[in-house]
Amino acid sequence: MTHDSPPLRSRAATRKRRRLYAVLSGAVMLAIAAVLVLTAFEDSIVFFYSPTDLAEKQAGRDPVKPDQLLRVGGLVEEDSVKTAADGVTKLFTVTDLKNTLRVSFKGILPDLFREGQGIVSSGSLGPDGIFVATEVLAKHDETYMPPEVADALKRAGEWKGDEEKEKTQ
Amino acid sequence: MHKYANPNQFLRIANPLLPWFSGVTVLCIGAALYLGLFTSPPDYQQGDTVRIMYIHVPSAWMAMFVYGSMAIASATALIWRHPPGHMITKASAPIGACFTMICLLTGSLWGKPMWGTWWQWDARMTSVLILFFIYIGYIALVNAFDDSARGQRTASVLVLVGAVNLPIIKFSVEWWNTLHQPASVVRFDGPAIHPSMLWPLLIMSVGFTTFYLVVLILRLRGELAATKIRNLRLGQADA
Amino acid sequence: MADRITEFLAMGGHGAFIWPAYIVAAVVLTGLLIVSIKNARNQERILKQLRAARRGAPTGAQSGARNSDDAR
Repeated sequence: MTHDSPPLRSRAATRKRRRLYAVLSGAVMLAIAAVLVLTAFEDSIVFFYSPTDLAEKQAGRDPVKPDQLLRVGGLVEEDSVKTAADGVTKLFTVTDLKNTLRVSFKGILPDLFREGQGIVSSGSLGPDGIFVATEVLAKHDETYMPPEVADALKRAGEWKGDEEKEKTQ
Repeated sequence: MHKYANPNQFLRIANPLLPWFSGVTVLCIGAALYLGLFTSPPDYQQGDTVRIMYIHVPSAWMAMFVYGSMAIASATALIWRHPPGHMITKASAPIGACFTMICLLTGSLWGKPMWGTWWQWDARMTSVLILFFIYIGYIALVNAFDDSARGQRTASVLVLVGAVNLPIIKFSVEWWNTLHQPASVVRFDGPAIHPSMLWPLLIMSVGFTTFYLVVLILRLRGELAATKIRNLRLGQADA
Repeated sequence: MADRITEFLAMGGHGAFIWPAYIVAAVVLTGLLIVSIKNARNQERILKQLRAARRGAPTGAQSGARNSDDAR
């Protein structure tokens, strides 16, 4: 339709390039802003603390207040699940394989709850250092396989299930 | 005239493709349903609830893939003043919103029996919910402007800004402690899913992708016709 | 046979979560497809009528059957 004379076309090209640079620099600015915001709010983005995080937090400038609501997550330590004298409250230890935290919980545990399983519990830290949970959620890892395959792996001693995987995290 | 040349060429290519994409969609979703519901085994840990994965994960991928396509289309439209880019963005948005909604709802239905909760504000879930709101925001914005060129540009800028959320969704499970587990399929050391469960997942994803293309073509046809109607009516008003 | 169907529907006791997930996906995607088809058909029909009217031909007569897109 239009017969672009050379100067016209080059002017259009310049404009396109300018828009390209505008979009690119906008993207870079946005990425930087996002990184800054996410870093600043890291503490509230993190869904739960590991026992180690909690220990560090307790040693730091801003320790957990007695009734402060927080979440602690980790693996349920093997052979640690006990039922308290009242017959309802469950006591168990959550570990990240560096530090542990004792947890008490009165309520219904999720189906996936078992020893060696990852969990996230919300509640508050008691004065005795026992975490009183009001809710316990099960966390599972990202491997999916049929039961027979899991059994075969266990038999062959090649089982590196959720426990191992989450250790590295 | 120049304005119409492109879309008509698009329709000449897209219309013959429509039955093919539809066929692939039906075949893939049918096969994936059969594999996912009948032949694939239950998971060693999660039992039969793993079957929710065959819908949840493909829709999560589509939620992000459609948004990525919109971001690319918006960028080309903004930089090269290429109107079809705006049109593709506008036609894609409801599809992406639907996939995001499916992802959120099926995730909730999966979370309740396995984690013990319908919803938690962890980084993965929150960032996907934000993606859903960005979709809704874009749709509201682009419709409010009534197809003015300026309105489409503004809405496309919103799409580009929202694209910052995509890497956050993808890596949220690695950057922060989350309730949601890390990626099972797209990861450095290969999928952590047994082949018998991976196949229905991948086939469903192909089916969802061609479904997106089918609906995209249909919506583009609607958009194109609507644009022509508007131009005709404007022409009439002038005459 | 009926037992096997019930067993299948029960999904190891998690049927109440699995089936709604599939139903939600089916309803949302089918709804999206239907709305998109209807809208495309509607707009294309209106366009055809408008063009026929502009050409001065009665709407019913399909004088516009010839692809008029390029002519415009």
